[in-house]
Amino acid sequence: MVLYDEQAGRGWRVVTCSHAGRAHGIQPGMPVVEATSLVRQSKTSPGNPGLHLERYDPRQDRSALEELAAWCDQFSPIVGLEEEAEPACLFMDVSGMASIFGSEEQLAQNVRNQFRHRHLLARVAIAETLGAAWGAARFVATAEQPFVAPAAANNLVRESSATGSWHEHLPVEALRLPAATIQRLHQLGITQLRQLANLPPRGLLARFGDTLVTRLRQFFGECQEGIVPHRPPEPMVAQIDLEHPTAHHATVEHLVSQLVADVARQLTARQAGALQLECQLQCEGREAVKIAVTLFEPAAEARHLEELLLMQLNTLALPGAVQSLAIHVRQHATQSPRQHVLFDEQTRQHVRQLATLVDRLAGRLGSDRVVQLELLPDAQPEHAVQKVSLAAGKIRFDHAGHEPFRPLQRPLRLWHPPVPIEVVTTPAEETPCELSIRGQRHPLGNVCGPEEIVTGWWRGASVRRNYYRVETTAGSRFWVFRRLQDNAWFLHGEFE
Amino acid sequence: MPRSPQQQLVDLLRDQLRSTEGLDSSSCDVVSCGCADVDRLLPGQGFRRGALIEWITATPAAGAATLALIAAREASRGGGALVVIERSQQFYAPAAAALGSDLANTIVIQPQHQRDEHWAIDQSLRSRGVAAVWAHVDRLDNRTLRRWQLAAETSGCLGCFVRPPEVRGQPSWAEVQLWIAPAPAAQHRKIRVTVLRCRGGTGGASVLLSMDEITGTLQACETNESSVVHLAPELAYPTPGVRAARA
Repeated sequence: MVLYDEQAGRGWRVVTCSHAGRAHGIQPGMPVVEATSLVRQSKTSPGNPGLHLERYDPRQDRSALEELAAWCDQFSPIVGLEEEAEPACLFMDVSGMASIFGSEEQLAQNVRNQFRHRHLLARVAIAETLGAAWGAARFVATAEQPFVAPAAANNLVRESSATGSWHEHLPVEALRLPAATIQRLHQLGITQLRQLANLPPRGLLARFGDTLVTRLRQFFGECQEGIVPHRPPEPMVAQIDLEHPTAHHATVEHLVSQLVADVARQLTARQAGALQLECQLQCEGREAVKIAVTLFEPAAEARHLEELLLMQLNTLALPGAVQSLAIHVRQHATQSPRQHVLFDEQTRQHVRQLATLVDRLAGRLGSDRVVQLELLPDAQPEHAVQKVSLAAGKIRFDHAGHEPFRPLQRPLRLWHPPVPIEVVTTPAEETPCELSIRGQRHPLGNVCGPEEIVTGWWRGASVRRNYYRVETTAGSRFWVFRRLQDNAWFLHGEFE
Repeated sequence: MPRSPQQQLVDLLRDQLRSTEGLDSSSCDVVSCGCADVDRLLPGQGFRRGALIEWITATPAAGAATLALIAAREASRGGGALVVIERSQQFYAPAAAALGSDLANTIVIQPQHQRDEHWAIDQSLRSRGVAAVWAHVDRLDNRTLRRWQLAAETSGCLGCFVRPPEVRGQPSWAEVQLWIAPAPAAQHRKIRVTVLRCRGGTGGASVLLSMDEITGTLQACETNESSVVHLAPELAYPTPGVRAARA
């Protein structure tokens, strides 16, 4: 599995990949096309599922890490995320916790095992400072073997000791430095922490700024660095229990409107907007009827939320009288502040109105029917496109799709599956000279091809086709192919 | 050739009429159809934003949908999304991208039923965040088309509809109706575009276009503007001068 994203000016790049992907030679930062070809080259068995590509979503990534932080409360009362734009590490204050778990080694092992039960590989390290623990987790601990720094009094000192401290051989990357600083250090021949530790701080400050000096001091515990505890927000919910159950639709709608207003107030108080709402209607003696709404952009406007919920509620037949109603905000996000910038005001208005439109369309038609289409580097025409749901703000307006074809090289309408047709071919070159589509004969005037496509063997049966762009004497243009295995002809598209 | 006083008077009156109807190209936002030679056939040198345009295809796979998509692409260049509405789920994105459509700015709606399709078109035409709506529209009652026209006028969205040959001659609220007929050719694809009707102008003018398969540019092979055919009777309802911007 590969997570990918677009990098400015560099196209689609791998952000991270699974162990199986790394075994194929895939590395973060690699172009997606190269990763795809690596998997194809190294594949031997046709039953191999192949490469699974998915777009990297930093918001989901952070959300998953926050969920883990809440779960880690069982190990420590203070758990926080590293303070980065895209955090990838959890900090726990385990001072005094060793006695509860037996020892620090047992605590580290316990954490590692609990993560493994959740099918997660975690590198666990315990050290005296956050900086040292971060570096040890990255460069000393492994997924199999947690690391616990020795608790000697002079453990974290800059000077090299005769016995050699555990941190002496750490690379400079263990200091949580920006990539540009790391690169400059490498250019100066400084690759290890011990080289850096022995340099005068004043010179480092003058050459690299205060980030490097601060990180060094944090690593050696020469300045304080605290964990910002992650506190899971209180769930946002509005609920009504009815003394007398009702099946009257208008009454239910009115109650839903009241609850939405309550939820909207909660969202506004937190300066947040809902991304996912769930309305539960508990009917007498039945399972709760659930209405789920996924929004394109965070929204807190009661009128908009109400419209989306009622749109679905109106299509439902309630199985009985409703005795309680609840609306839960399942997912929310901070709303961007509304700045009154004249230049950009119109564009912002358009995006907001588009978001309202998408929510409304997805509410009635279903989120799987309001999509964006994304091109994939697959030679088989029917696999060259994938749908991307517009729900939960996943839309990206900033990427430019690649254009692998010339205009009119591919048809605007593609039949899936291809339609079997009868074709009369020239005896010499076996190019089509007449089509018969649904019993109607079309003599051909202009034929362009063949374009041979041989692909898809990793999906099972190999695809071997010769494609032709043909124009009938009446001027209609079609895209047909001959299946090379059995010479059967198919209509695959129309240049409509 | 100098124009006669009668012709000059007709031109003057036509300009005044267009100005009264709000169709003066200098006073309203006009978007190119993607081909300057077709633009020249239209009174405003292009399509007015907030209008419905119909490309009526003479035969299947004649290129009408391609021309409609090119116009929708042009409309969405200045901002706003392009909304593609298609029930058949046969819209092929690689072809659209090759024609210059920005897929990152394109929303595809795939309704299951005709009723949902019409509702989705209506909603999209009403949104100010949408620059153009592209759809195949087969059977349609005139009331729905009128509702769409008002919706498009309110938002400034361009409605680009591909219509079957049966609708030729039927009354319509579309501002421009184009008849798209393929012209068999040995090399580049050739398409004859005939203006069946346009508000503020006369129909009947046509142009034979050639589409370069390498660059995708559309160019006239020859023009035939002299053979004007009077199609005014097809206009079923007179369009009001300045419409109320509400639906």
